[in-house]
Amino acid sequence: MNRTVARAALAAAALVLLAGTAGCGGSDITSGRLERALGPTFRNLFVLQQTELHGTDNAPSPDTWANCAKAGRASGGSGPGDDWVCLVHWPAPSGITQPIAYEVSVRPTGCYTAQGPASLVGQQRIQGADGHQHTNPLYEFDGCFDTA
Amino acid sequence: MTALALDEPAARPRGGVRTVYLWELEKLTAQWRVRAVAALCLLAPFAFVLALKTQDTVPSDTLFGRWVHDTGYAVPLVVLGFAGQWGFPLLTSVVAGDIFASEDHHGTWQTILTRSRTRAQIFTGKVLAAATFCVVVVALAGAGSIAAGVLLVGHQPLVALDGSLVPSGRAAELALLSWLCVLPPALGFTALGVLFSIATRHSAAGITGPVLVGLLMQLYAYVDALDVVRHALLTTPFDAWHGLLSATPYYRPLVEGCAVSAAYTVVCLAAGYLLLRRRDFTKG
Repeated sequence: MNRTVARAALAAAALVLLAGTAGCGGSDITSGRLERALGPTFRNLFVLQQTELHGTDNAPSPDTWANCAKAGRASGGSGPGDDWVCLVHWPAPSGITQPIAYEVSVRPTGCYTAQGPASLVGQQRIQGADGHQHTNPLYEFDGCFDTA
Repeated sequence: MTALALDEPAARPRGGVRTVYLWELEKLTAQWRVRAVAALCLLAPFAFVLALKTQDTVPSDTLFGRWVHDTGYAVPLVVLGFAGQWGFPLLTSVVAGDIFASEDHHGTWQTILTRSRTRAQIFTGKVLAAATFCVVVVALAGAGSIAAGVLLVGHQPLVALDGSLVPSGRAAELALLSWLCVLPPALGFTALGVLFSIATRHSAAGITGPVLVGLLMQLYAYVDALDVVRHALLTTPFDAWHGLLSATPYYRPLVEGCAVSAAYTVVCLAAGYLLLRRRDFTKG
């Protein structure tokens, strides 16, 4: 019985080693994947915020553009971490669309948390058109993307 | 006469698996531990929501945590995010890690093996009973958290992971489907619990073993390590439901997760069965 266990352990170790050597091909978390997920999410949440604030959504809807880069050490612009920065197009109340930066933390699972500039997109709770307090969708938001 | 002789095909009665299975279920439902876990799964989500309602803060470090005050459908998804971290391995192991080792604890192997049931029948019946408990626990926790959310918070539309707004009915469907998605890895941990139970012959080791393995896998997934290994971990499929909660859903993690869970289940059950078959019970 001990020999069986030893054999099984050996096989498992070999499998892990094999998987390890095969996995040296870079990270699942890339700027392209993050941009394709975060851009449309920001657009949807902006529309949601405008509906909360004004009852209707008559502000200009932003595009789904996003530009993400990983700061910190030379990581080749990929990999999980909390040092990602994403630029998105934010239509300011004045009517001018300007790029704003979100600080993004990306987990290895492909889920991220983006925190925006509160001075521009508002605090965590905002006063809605209906007089009630609402969760501000743009203050901080989560999202996930496929990592393969 | 050795116990091995009892495994002769001539002594194999019909309907043996069913008898073992029903008997195991009867034993399980009589245990206070099993009843407590079932009640906990159903009631804990209500306590969770009531605790949230007394304060303004939100569990924003969990997906959908920001929305727990805005829609009841966020509740089952937050609970799912929590439970996947460590809860499911522990809940399912409470039975799976104990179901074989309890025979060692009570010294009843010789007794049940002389009841003209083969080891294969006893193994199958016990594994089926452990799997049934796993399904029941997931179903109770899922139903409990959906009910807690809808009854205590409401059935407002849900903001999905891509920022799109999901109407009430569809949100309920998605919450149910998300809970279904954790069944394969939960059953994988059940199989792991069975293996620990047979290999260690000790209930405590059988219960804590899978929990430790789950925690180690979670730890590995959080460090910036090789992605290929992370895809092969049994805890990764617990996150597969993320792909459903988007206007443009992706199913790759779900398919991959089912394959990984099936592989773990088959390997653990095969290893467990081999250990049980080769064990010499005459030594006591």
